[in-house]
Amino acid sequence: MNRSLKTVIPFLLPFTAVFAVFLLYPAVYSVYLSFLKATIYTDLSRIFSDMKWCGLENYQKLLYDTNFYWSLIMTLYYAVLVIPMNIALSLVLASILSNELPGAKFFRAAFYLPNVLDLFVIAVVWTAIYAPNYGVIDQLTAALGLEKIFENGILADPWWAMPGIAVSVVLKGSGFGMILYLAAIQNIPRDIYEAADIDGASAWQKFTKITVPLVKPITLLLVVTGILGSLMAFSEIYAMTGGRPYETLPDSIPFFGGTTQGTTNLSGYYLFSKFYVAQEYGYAAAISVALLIISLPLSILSFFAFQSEGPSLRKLSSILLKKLRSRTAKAI
Amino acid sequence: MRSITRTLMFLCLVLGTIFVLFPFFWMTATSLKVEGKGMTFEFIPKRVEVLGPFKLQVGTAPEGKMKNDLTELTSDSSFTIGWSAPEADGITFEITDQDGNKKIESPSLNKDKNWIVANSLPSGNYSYQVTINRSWSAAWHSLYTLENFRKIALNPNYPFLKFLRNSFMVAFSTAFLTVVLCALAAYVFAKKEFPGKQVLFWTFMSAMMIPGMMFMVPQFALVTRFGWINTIFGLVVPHLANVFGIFMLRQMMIGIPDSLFEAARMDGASEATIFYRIVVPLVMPSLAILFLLTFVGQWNNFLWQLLVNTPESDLITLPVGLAMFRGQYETQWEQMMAASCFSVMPIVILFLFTQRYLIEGLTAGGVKE
Repeated sequence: MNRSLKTVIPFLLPFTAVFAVFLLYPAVYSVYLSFLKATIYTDLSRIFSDMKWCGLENYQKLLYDTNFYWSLIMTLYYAVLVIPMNIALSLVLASILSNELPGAKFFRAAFYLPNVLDLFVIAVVWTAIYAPNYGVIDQLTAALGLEKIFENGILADPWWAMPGIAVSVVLKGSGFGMILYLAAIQNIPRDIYEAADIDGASAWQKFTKITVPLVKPITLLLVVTGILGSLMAFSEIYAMTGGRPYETLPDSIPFFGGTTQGTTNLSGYYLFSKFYVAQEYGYAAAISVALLIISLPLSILSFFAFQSEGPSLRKLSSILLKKLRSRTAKAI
Repeated sequence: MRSITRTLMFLCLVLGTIFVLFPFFWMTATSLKVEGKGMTFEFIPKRVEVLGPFKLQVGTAPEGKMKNDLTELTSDSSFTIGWSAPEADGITFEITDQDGNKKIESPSLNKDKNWIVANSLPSGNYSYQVTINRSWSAAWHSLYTLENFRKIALNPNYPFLKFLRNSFMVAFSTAFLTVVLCALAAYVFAKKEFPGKQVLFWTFMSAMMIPGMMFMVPQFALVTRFGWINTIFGLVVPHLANVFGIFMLRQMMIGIPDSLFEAARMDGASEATIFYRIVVPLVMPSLAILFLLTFVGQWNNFLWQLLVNTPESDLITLPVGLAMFRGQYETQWEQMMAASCFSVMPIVILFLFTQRYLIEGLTAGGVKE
């Protein structure tokens, strides 16, 4: 055996083994599973080794599954709600924070804190905030002497449940975008702003004409990761609505008329419900493959966008490398 | 002008903080309040509390009612008020009949029962109001309590202390093993040449482009076939191949000057010694960041822990435990918020101490998020 290979194998083997078994093989296995289904003869105690080949049946079913199409449309709606709000909030916070105000470090940490907390737990807290009667909204409207806005709380309202979820997710997640924007804004050379000052530009003009265009890569990254995040959104739906409230759509709606759909049933949650609740493993695998086909171009885009434009990753590397060099210098 | 803008911006930041941290604040406040007061806007304990006025009818069939902390019993010629919270220092009790005549009573308190009896009232409509005076400490205890935390920690059906142990165990072992595996592999990718290196590296990297949820079904199938449901292996092993970790550590290790390795080899050091004595100490900060990121990530990994644990599992972690607890205690908001608080507090504390590294690191981890 090649000598170099002999020395590297002990280093590589543990990671490669786990990678092969739990990432590489599943990627292939997922596709295989999508051609299988459980029949009445399947032994449910060892279901995965006893499913039968069914050809394209799962995909055929998927092609006519209005619930799946509905979940994709709801995912798009969710993305349209979350992404612009998230970008606006993170960008505003970042551009305010970049002014070196007193306590900037505290604010940076405070905005970032919700981001490291468990989404499921935070979503549970939001159900308390949104709760009917005891919740914050109902108490505030009652204190102001107004009528209740939502009969059974915002999360039971077919029109407002999704915006309610979106607000809670944006408030939790915007710290992440803020940090990225902040790093990007701090990388913009000061003299550009000074030149604009000399030309008599207003603060708003400086924001729209200098800051916004120069942080575009981050915006692109947030859009792409936002769409991917929406496709995979699960914990917030599980904690807050479970895909409810269900509505039977009027016949006047094309394609979906007469069907009953969950108004917050996003594709990631739909996958989970087919997988975990209905235990249709083969079908769930087919949904996974379909979602993967949808998300792969976006994933690739985000990967390369981050590779070429990730200021913070490069910043982090350079900070650490500097430290490293000073330590090595001492060591030598 | 400039100072006005800066003040305005500062105010924006303060307002933003209040908004962003509101759920966190609401959770903590609710969890610290006595049952029934958790989800209210009452934050300052009241020394003097006025209950009522309540309407009352004497002269009907005997009847009992509960109003706040009061129990009210009426019969044809008397009524009785029971006050269930015993920590009041003084109670004034004021009855008004339908003509507006007042009758004030300050009964001496019986510490155990606190019954107030008004006898021999002519039948008719009355209204009454109770004024409760408390010492500061009693007032404080009438609003704030640690009881909710005690209840969830001692709940026999939902052992949150055990959930905490499990969460810690899963997060710690995943983080530790991830760092070991990634550091070993990153070292050869950074410093060694071997056939197929580029192919292997990009195979690893390509896994970063597949969203994690796509692995849910097949990984679950594998774990089931291995018989790893409800075991620590099922919870930990599938997450050990952290491709981002290799990527990050490789970047750091490339920067180590080769002369160090040559010198060590000249002294007869083995590959293992070089790795352990030179590489590991030099990239320690990155290893710490990767450890922290993985720890937080696994602490918050709700979906996978939900899948791999059945309800009778011994390894249920905090978020899954909270989900089960919620099924039973849906409307016990104070206890629910205490349980939520309990679940996120370890990470909040960790964040306070390591926020600089977490912020830098999680930003770098953006690709995987």
